[in-house]
Amino acid sequence: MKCLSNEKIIRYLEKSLNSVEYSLSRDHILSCEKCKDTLKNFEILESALEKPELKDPPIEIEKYVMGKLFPGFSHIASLITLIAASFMLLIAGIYIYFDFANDSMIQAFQLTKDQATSVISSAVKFVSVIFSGLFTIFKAINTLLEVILNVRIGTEVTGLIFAFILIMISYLIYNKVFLKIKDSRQN
Amino acid sequence: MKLDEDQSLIKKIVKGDKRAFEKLMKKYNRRIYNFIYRMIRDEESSMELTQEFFIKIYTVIYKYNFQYKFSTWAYRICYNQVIDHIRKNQVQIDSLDAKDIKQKQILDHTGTQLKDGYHNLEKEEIKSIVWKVVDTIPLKYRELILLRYLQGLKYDEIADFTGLPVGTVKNRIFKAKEILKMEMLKNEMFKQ
Repeated sequence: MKCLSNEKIIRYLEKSLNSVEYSLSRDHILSCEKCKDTLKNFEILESALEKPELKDPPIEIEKYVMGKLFPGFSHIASLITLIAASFMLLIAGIYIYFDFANDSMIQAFQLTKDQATSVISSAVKFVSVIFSGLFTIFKAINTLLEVILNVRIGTEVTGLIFAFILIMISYLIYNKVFLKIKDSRQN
Repeated sequence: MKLDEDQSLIKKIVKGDKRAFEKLMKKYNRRIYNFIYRMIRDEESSMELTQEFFIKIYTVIYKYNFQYKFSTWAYRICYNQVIDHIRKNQVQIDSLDAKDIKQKQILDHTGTQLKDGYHNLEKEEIKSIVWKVVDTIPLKYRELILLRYLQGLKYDEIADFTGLPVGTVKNRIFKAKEILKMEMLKNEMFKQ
């Protein structure tokens, strides 16, 4: 029997031959080394084609499309961070202004320690405790800087610098880690 | 009617859920970009066309008919968009085809030529070489290979997309495979 054509071998592989043609082709392939090799080559080709090599698309595509279709949408995360950062700076500012260390924030709210039973005064007291702690840390860092580098920048300024660094780190973590985890989950 | 994952997302998109659209885009971005890139082989244009594609999808999503698979509907839009681009930029695409000959020559001279044939090649290596060769074959064959294997379409769907008779689609795909096999043999990737 004459060797099978490439087309017949491909159709044999795709099982699109009728039953008679399929049987004849199978019998021939079993007895013909050349056709057996051709079949093997097409099998390899088929299996390579079935799993295409996919290149990663540029990340700009999604950003551009979302930005174009929903202006401001991609900045929601940045906006939340900005609000949080502003809130932190505001608290820090208030703290510095009224000097939490002396409980003057409570005085500013015209609250006394005895009256401090409501939710607001408890929250103020809670923030006060945190800031007092932070203030102590900043004071210590400041003293350390003064001893090591002979630089005196003030506890409040140190606090602001640290708050700024903290905000930047949080923003970077959000962008680099959280969004990546989210993307991989969605994929 | 039971909705599949894509269709559920489309329902949400139509109601104005932006996150659902983002999710749908993430799902198809890679496949669409790769289809366009392998068709026109220009990174910048592929990126722009992919962006245009998703913007178009969003603006016409309300026209989507839930009786059909979303992927087929989307791939058709993508195919038409790429063909329009190719028609408008025929000169550039032709010059890219000329570049393929150079690529082919590079493959001829520096490709992984192994004396013992495919038995020594890893599956991944073969896959990579086959797809490199796909990039070098003429567009009329390449587009059908891409529709069949990258988009996963059936012969009749390809015929519907391209406007070619099913017989012609089958013959061209056979021919494309023959060309690919010849190239692999020429580069000693396959056993003679």
